[in-house]
Amino acid sequence: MIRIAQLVKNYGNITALDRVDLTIEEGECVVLIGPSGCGKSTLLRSINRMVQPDSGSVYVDEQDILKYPPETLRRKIGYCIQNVGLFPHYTVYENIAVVPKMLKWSKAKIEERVDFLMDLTGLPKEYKTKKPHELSGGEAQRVGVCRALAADPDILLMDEPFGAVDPMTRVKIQTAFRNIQKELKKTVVFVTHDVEEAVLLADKIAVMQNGKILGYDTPSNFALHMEEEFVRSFLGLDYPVKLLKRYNIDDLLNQESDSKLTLNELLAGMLESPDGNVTIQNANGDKQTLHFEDLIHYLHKDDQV
Amino acid sequence: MKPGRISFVTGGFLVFLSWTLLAWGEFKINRVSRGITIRMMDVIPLYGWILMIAIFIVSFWFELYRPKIKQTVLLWILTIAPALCLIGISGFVPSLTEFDPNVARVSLGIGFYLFLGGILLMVSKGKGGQTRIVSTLVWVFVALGSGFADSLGLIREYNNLQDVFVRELFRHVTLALLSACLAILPGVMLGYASLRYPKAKEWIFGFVHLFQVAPTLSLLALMMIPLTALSRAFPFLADLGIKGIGFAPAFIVLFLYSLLPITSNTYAGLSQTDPFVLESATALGMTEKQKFRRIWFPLSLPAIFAGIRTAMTQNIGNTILAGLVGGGGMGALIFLGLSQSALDLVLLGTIPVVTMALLIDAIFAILEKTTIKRLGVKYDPHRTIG
Amino acid sequence: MIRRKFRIDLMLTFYFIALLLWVFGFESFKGTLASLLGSGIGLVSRTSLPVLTWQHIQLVALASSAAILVSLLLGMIVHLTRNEEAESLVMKLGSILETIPSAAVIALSIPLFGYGNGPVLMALWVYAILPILRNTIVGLQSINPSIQDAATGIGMSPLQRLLKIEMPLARPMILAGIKTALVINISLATIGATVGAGGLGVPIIAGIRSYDPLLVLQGSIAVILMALLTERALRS
Repeated sequence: MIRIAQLVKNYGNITALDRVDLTIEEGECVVLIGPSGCGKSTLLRSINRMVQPDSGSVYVDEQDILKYPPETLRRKIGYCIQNVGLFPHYTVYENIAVVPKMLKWSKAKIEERVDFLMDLTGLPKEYKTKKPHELSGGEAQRVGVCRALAADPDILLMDEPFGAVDPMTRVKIQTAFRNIQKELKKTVVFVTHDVEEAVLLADKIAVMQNGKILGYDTPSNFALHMEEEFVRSFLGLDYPVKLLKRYNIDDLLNQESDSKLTLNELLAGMLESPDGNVTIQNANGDKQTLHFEDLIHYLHKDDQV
Repeated sequence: MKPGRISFVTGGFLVFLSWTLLAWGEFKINRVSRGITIRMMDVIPLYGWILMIAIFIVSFWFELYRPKIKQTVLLWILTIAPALCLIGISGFVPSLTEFDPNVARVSLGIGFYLFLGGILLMVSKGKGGQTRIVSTLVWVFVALGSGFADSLGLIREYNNLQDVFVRELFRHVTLALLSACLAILPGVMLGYASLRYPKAKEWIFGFVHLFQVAPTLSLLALMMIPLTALSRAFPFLADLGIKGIGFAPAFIVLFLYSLLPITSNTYAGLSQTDPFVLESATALGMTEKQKFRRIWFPLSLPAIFAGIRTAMTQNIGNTILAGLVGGGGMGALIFLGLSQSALDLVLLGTIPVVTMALLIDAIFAILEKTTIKRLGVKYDPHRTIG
Repeated sequence: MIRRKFRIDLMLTFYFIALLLWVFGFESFKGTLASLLGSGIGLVSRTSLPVLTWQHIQLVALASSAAILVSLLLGMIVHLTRNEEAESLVMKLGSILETIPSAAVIALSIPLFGYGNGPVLMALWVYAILPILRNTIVGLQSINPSIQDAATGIGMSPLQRLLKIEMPLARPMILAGIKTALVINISLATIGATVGAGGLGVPIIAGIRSYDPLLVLQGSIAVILMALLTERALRS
């Protein structure tokens, strides 16, 4: 869906992108992660031509993005940044409706779309007429997400969108985003420096340093097959524990329940118990004992024997 | 210290001073003769004096010990005081002097001005202070226009020149505001150009800055030279009214003068727009033109309005100088009065200019505030003017 | 120790030399100028240009120094008393006074001081106070409060803190205010000629009244150069 080939970008004598290759499949959420200055934002912004690379190409659906005028490209790509950048003189409704209006959607269609998106992100209907300065940080960011999704783009670019939000709201908004992504299945490229955020949201993680991609794999594979020294230290020695946050008890037991017990909470329970076993009870009253080995089996289930 | 105390006490002090010591004006039997000094005590009979002092003391007492509704009532009463005193003064009749009641006049002196200033300070405290200030001034104007204060020198001069006054007033306002309005478009474009072409910025700013630093009078005088030469070379220009004297040099100088505040405020407004907002606009797929028209320019409007406000208020004042080069306006009255030592005439010319300047400033302040509210923009309080 | 390179400001030197040349050389080249303008030499002011220039400088210098004194004192007092109301009152009065056209203030001070240099000095003084006072107050207000905290913590009295720390920190703003005041005064002093004061306004007004471009040039160029020179010198 998005193919990046040998992208190079230099700022003076600083190399931001060093012959980067990356392929992102349709419907995948790929998180670019790395220390400050590693080039992740530059890479992201090369996709919608906010940054003009010195050499190399970007292909969307096998079309070179240089073929279109930049505005046409950008109207088909959603973009969310940390500072949101909502237009202060537009209401929430007008902010979200910007791109659809440019694409000449009918008023009815725009109304419907705005309602749908506000519902999806959990914004009350009354907020339509509010102005950005009346919103809290978390609310503003949700509007930003709505605005990015307004014209139903296939691709969504997000640059540390939840960074300016306080930790409590951030968890809520991350969970909301995860659910939205499950429903909409957009192709998302997400930049963050927060490993836990990456683990939570990503289908694939790309770890970058000095303009190069050092590792590109699913979150679980990173836990099991990490060779590169820098990647190990960046993701943290406790990475497998962080990884547990991504899954919950339903994934482990292959069931559908209302329990939202995440696997790291399960691990915590196991640590509390003297023999490492935890007994859980589901809605029917059935009891089940889980052992520490069950966690290990689950994590390694895809390993080649 | 309780808020408002300082204004109140200073005001009170000024009022007291003007009542007892200072001259409220002069009685002159005609325009040019020497005047007989009038003091407050001469104007108001004894019982009036006692009444005033009583009100004064009561209001002070209320202020210091029991600030409540009753005190505000007192302050509202005070707003009428200058107007009444004005009428009172104009009725002053000296004893032992022969005079023609249609020609004799009373010229206002420092005592009255300090009294007015003192009252304004006193009533400004507390809630509704601004409204009270405006109402005091309105009462004064009402008194002036009521016909009861006709022996004031000010009114005499006005009555002498009524048509001229109105004509020159109109000319003044037109000259000042039109030249500022005409400078809006070039000013905004120059401001935009300074942002777009950083290399040109130094030159543009240097150019417009020149006209602010150079003394207005000298620019005006210098402007006359080429204009005279032009109108001699091309007589049709003179027929159009473009000559070395008259409104042409004044208009051009005022126009050039208006450029700096507008240009530099436009530049400030454009450059201070939230860069993330602009980035979002580009990222959403707006063309440069769309971005400018829908986002960048509207968000810079408060700054631009501030520039226009400065340009207009400056111009109202500077247009006085047009009177020196035959451009008319209130300046003509002022300088005429100066040359004839008829200070009431000078006052007649000055008061409208001051009022207009304050009025335009206030109107634009309101305009700025509402625009800021509607745009939801946070605006820089540091006005960048020349 | 870092040696600061003393860079010669070209524009400044230009203005200065041009002013000197004009003021002292005017007599010599007025003939050429006259023929260029196509006018006769006509009535030339009785006072020579250098003397007029000096008068002008005196007016401005006198009024400005008095204004600087008063403004600094008033600004410091207002700051020391920490009275918000006084501060806002002073600022508001100042901005209202500024909206009043300067020519009007000259005219209005005639009853008090008669004609001549008196009312002009009065008006110059008032109009110089406004920018200097405002900049002093704002400059002092905008000092980082943690610096004031630190100074008090060391054991400085408010007065010491004001004089040793705050005033030096506010200096750039104050100097900017002084610059504005001086430029305003140079401009205002030209109008003084209409009420009988001296200075470079005299030939300008005389030139306007008698349609003599030579007189106009004589005064205008000198005063414009003076203004540009002062503004440039106090820039930074």
